[in-house]
Amino acid sequence: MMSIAETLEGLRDCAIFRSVDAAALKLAVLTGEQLRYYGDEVLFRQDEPGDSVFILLAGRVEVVRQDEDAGEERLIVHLARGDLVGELSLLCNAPRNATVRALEPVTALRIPRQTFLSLLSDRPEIALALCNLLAMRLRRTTEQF
Amino acid sequence: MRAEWPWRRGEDRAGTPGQPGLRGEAVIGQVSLLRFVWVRSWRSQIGILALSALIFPLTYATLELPKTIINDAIGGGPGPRQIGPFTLDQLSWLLVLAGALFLCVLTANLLKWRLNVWIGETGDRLLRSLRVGFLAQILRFPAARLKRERPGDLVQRLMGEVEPLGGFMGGVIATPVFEAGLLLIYAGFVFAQSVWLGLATIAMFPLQAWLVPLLQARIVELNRLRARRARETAEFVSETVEQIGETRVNGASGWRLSEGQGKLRAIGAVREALLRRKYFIKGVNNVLNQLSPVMFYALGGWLVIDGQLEIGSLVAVVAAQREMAGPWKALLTFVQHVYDFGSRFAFASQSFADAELVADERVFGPADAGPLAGPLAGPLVLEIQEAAPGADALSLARAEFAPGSRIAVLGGSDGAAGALMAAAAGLEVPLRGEVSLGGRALESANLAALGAAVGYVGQEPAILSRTLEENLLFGLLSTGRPGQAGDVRTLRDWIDPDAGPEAAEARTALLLDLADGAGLTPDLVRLALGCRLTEEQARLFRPALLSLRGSLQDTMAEAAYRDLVEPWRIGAVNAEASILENLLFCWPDREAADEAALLASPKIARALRRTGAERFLAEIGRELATAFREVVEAAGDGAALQGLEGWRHGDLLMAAELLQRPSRADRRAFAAIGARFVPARDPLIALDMAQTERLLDLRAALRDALDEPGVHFFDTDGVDPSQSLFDGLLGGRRRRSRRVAWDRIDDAVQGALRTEGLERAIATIGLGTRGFAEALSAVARQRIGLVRALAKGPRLLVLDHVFGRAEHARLRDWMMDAAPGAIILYAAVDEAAAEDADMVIRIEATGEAAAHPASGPRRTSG
Repeated sequence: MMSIAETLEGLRDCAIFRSVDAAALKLAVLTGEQLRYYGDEVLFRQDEPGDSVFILLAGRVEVVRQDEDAGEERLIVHLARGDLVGELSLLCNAPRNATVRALEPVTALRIPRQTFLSLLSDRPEIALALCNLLAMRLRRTTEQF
Repeated sequence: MRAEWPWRRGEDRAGTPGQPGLRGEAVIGQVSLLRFVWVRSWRSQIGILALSALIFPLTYATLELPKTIINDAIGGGPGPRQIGPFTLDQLSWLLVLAGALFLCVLTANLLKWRLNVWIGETGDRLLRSLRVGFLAQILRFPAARLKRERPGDLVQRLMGEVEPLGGFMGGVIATPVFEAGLLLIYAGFVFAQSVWLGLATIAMFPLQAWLVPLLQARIVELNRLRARRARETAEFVSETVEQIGETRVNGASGWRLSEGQGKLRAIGAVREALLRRKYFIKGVNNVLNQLSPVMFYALGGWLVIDGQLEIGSLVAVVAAQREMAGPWKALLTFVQHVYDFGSRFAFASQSFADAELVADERVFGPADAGPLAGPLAGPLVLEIQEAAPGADALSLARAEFAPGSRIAVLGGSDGAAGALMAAAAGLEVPLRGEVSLGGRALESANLAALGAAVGYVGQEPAILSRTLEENLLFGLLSTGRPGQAGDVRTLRDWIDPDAGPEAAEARTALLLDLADGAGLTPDLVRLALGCRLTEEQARLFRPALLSLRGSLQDTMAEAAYRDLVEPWRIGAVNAEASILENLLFCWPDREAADEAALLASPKIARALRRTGAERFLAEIGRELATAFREVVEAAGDGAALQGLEGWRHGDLLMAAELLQRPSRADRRAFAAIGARFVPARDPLIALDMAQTERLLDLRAALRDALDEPGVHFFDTDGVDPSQSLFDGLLGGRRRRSRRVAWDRIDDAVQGALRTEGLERAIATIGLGTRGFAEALSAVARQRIGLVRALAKGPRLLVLDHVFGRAEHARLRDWMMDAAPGAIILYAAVDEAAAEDADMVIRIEATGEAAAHPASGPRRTSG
């Protein structure tokens, strides 16, 4: 298990927590749950209800989506330390739109829905950084087409 | 034979339904408070009146004797008195009279004590009877009313609002009679001494009797307003709690608080007005009461001076006049209370009234007697022209289904299909149409008979706060014997109070078979694994569990299970356990639910203090409190801290507050916080190397201090009944950080139990689990609902949108075997799920439905 200092450092690498004070980060750590995965273990599966977000503190994961037509998985992206995963289904109140699987030993902080929403409403800087992150992703997606 | 229902046994038994000549309507605003009291407690009231009558002559004697003492024994000269055959000198005569007075006073007060206790007991019984009546009303509420009412509001009305009525109701008949009787005795005594003094004594009574009720009328209005506002506030609080999620998401906590403040302020304004009025009345009464003595002393003194009255008589009259104040005040207060409590009673009882109540006989009547009773068996007829109020549109042409048939409901909205299911189960009554079983309309069938015949499984079956076994047996209530309700301890007693251990074993076996068929066994085993064994179970299972533990530990050493269990080792800290557990390295009191309970044990507290472990815990607690303070400040309104594992928001606030006033006395409080610290759960602080070494040293010291028979240390080879079965088998705790792989461990343990032939025995332990509701998945709850429905051998089984396609396919043949001859009606998710049915009811998007034979292969019962 990571020490509190290592966990806070890992959170600081996440774009939405970069400008947040230590107390708020500790709140996220206390209310969250540090989880460890080994290769091939799944953080969450496509179509499951989205009840939390994950911040990757160590290791790499792949985000894959089931291709209904081809009947096989399609790789969407690889993510690593500092990346936020699972926020879309939580914000849209919709099922997970992809499966996230560990490629190697991974440590992640899982923050439940209620806590994450409270953090967003109490800390505008986190909400703003999240907007920024989502806008960047949208822009990247738009540029691909 | 007609069953003996407990409330039919006597006047003071629970009370509402079945009371001869006075059923549930007695408390729904149809009768006055006085009539309710008389009908429910006339025997007690007559007894109380008789006892009151005994006190009256004694009271008169306590007035007459002092007068005789002064006039005759003291003032009547020293000569001897002849009392029957006895001749008494002056002193002896005085002592006899004083003794008689003492006896009268003592007897009168003993009788008053008994009278007050009797009044109190009667009031208590009446209050219970009133509440049972209201509860009976709730049980008879029509479905639409139940959907509308908030449970919190009903609780407030049932418990809070009627509470003050108890004391009043007990004496509502006796109090005025008793107090008026006393008043007449005192007044009669005064009039007997002097008519003028008598008139002076009661001079102000007419004015008070006219004025007080007049002022009281406004108080009654204010009381009604207060009750109405209190109820509105209770509704507001209920709504706030129910909608807390929406409130938080919309950032409306402040607005809600302000709204609540407004409502409380409104109640406060009414209470202020009430207080002003009440004390004004009290003031007026006091002034008028004081006027009487002024006239009394002037007139009485003049009569004595004029020789028309003896001094002894004046002294006795003075005493009587003083005594009169008590009953007169009590009578005036009683008049106030008649208005006040009468309006409360009417307000409360009217709130439980409903014109559409389900018939009393239908709800409470026995299943085997009366016009509505009798078994429901035979074909199911469904015809719905118009669904129940509030349900989605639905119409179904008349269809008849034979016993043993399986009917799938396809299509339509969930609401329309749900309405059909609810109608078929007798839960809802269509506005127009017919639903019958064996030719008997469900609408009018006795509910006990209906409960025995129909099994209904909804998406969220109710879980009672009782053992799992009792939850599974819940459906047998309607078919079982009522038993002796007053002695009921568990539902099992209710079902068959005379059954011996063999019957209990047979019932458990039946339940386990049903649970196994329904797929509930893994959940039972999982719940059992979280339990602590009893000493007897530990002895019984010891060899098997030791063998199982050996093989499991080999399994846990395999690569697939690496890192899943934090083992108990004497030379290491277990990060998944609390610091107190780590220090003690045992759970010395299996009855202690948590660390606080352990700390409350004098033996453990003494050992902790002597070894210095309490100081260590306090240091950890202080460190943790400091970390909590920082987080509490960052958490704003604390919404993010709700639902934290192991800690409530209040615990964190208290910990932060402790830091404001550090003193030696707070060491225990900090130690209590430190004792609960679990390193893997509470990541804000961590044990450093020095603290770890200190903990291990203290562990060794405590081990010496606590080593005695019955204490099992965690790394021993025995079966430790103070640990959960799961921890004992694994030799440690599952790691929280590997929650993703917990299913793997569960499967390994359950597989090993199966292999060893222990699964059923362990599942039996699971039947005794309590407080399991939150540990169950939605599907497991539905399985409980299914077992509950099947345990009573239903003639009709309704499955209202439960189980997925695969689960239903797995269960369908088994259900037919478990309920032979029963009609099974289920909502099918798609055509494939309906292919095994005998009949299909297809509901169109418009709500129009029709039944037709299914086309797929099917299996016959048996």
